[in-house]
Amino acid sequence: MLKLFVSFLVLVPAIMLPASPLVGGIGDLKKLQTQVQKVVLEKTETTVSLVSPTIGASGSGVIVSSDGLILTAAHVIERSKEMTVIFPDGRQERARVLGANFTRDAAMAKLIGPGPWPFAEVGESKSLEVGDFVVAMGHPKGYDPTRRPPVRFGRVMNKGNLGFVTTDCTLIGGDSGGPLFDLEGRVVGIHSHIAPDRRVNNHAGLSGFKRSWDNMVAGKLWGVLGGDRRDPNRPVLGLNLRKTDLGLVVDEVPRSGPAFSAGFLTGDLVISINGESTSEVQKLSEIFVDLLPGEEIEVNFSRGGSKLTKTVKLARLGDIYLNERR
Amino acid sequence: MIMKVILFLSFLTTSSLIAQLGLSNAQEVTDAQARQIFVALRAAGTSAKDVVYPIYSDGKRISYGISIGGGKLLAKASELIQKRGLYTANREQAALNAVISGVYTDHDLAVLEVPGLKAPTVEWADAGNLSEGTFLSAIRPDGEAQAMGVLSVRERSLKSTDQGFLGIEMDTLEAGKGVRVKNVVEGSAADEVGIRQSDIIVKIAGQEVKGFYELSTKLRRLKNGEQPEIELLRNEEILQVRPILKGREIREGVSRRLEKMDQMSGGQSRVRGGFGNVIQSDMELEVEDAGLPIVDLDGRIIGMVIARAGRISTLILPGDDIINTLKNSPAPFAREEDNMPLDQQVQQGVRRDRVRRELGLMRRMMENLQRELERD
Repeated sequence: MLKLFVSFLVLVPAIMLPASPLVGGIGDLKKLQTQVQKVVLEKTETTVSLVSPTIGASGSGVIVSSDGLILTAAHVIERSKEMTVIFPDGRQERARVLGANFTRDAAMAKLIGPGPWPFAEVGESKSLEVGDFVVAMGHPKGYDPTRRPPVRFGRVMNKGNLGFVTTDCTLIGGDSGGPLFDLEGRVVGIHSHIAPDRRVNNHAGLSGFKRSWDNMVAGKLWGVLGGDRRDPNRPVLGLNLRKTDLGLVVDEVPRSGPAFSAGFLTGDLVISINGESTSEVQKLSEIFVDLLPGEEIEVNFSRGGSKLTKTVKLARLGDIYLNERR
Repeated sequence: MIMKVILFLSFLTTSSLIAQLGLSNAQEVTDAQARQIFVALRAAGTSAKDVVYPIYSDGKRISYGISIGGGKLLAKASELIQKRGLYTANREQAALNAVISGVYTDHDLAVLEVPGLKAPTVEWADAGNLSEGTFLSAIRPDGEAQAMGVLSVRERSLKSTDQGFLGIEMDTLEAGKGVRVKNVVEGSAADEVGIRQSDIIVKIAGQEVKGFYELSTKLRRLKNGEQPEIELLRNEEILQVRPILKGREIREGVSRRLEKMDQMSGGQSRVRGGFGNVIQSDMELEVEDAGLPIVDLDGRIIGMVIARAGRISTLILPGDDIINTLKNSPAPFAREEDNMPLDQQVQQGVRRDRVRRELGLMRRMMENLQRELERD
């Protein structure tokens, strides 16, 4: 066991080091500075302050389409139906809240009015690597007419569960929902939460946002901040799985669940869901984070050597397990 | 903000091996990268390093000062005036006594006389045209950057009294055509021109306003003394007034939650607000780093660190502003104890330390009481 880890220790940094951008001298820093200044110049006006007219609490957001789609954090919109949008120049507009996936701390709103609005393109967070340079903006401590959104520069320090990204771009209350940009000016994260350590500032990764996109546009609100495996509204297949050397094997099929009706049997080996491999348990739970009960998913599995596919309509956790146990 | 690397090798135990494997590798990568950046920054610190000096008290470095010629250092006043036995060290590591000779209270600046100090005079560069996102670093006497960050917010006044104040309470909820006046402050600019409750302000300086934020932004971006034309609606009649704005006296409360976030993220300077003109950076410094010179990538000294102001903010006095300030003489500052024999200075210090400790104790007690009250 120890040997394996030792070889890991030698190997992994060797793979990771060349990936992080190198800074050879002051010339490289100047090039980097030019990129950062360009992002700031072009994207500042897309960084808005969002104020809940009813609660008065304020956070930030970023406009990502010319017709006014705003990305923000789920805890910023909470249960508001409408938000006041304040642009860096003080212009004031209104936005209708669409949907939110609380587990990812992801939410959407839409500006009321025809536009066209200034916007930033969306990028991917899954391709970010430790050491990648990033720029954070937002409206810390709420909208302040004496300044534009303060610029923070830093690097990706780590990547966490559920697509969260940790950077050393310092954030504080009010920044929540604001954008993390890559050096191309694409939104790669949305500010979510911090730890006392100034190098731990967490952002919801944009790749996770994209997986929840359609459900959020459709106005769905789901999930729990920080995640909760016992959330009764969580979508489930109705399969009790066991991790084996081969992969995830069906241990039990509760009769009240949709997988039972679809004909799953103990011993089936689950290969993929909606085309995504389920070789790891972690991966499996990430797939479900973006889904809601009632959605149909395609499950690929193998039974006695032959590969099969079945479509299953997801059920609510509370309707299957909790009732059964009661 | 990129933090100076503190090399730290964690010893992996088998139980948390997997969990730490990812983290320690990520840290190796970011640490190596930070080292590259700080080595590259040495090229920007060549002129700044010669004008910055550490300031000590009781054998501890408490701040930095910048040489302004004639054997004088410029430093952050509020970090020094309560300390005794100030001294600096020259490049030969010899201790030189430093005595505060004057202060610019408005800027929280102190001038220290350091007899025997042979140091070049700082050459300030103009910071007015630097754009947001410009790389800035704070340079130490050894030529290394203590921290690197970006220009987060351009020069601005943090004095609320510099901002225009009309003196009306506005409806924050309504948004549409204009802003309804909920209340008028007696003796305010609004009161002077006869703005009344229930008036609807529709235009300011020729521009329409459709809500609280638009109007308050326009007002606060105007200065104390300006006279914007304001168009208002009263009983379906359009009126025009030209109030002379006064200074904003309102202190904005900071929420307890935000204060906690700042506090948990490290020390903050006691004096960290109310400056007439400062640049804000995200560079991560400590309270004792006040007085460090700030350079851009070309090595131009564009200002001096004047305060650590919370998790996301370090405040910098722009060089051109310092030049203007130094044109006037500082208010004289003399402490009796500076002329006292050393043993008396120590006695004074001991007494002051005791008072400070007791004050701290009282403050904690007050906080506890406050918490008790809130619980009810």
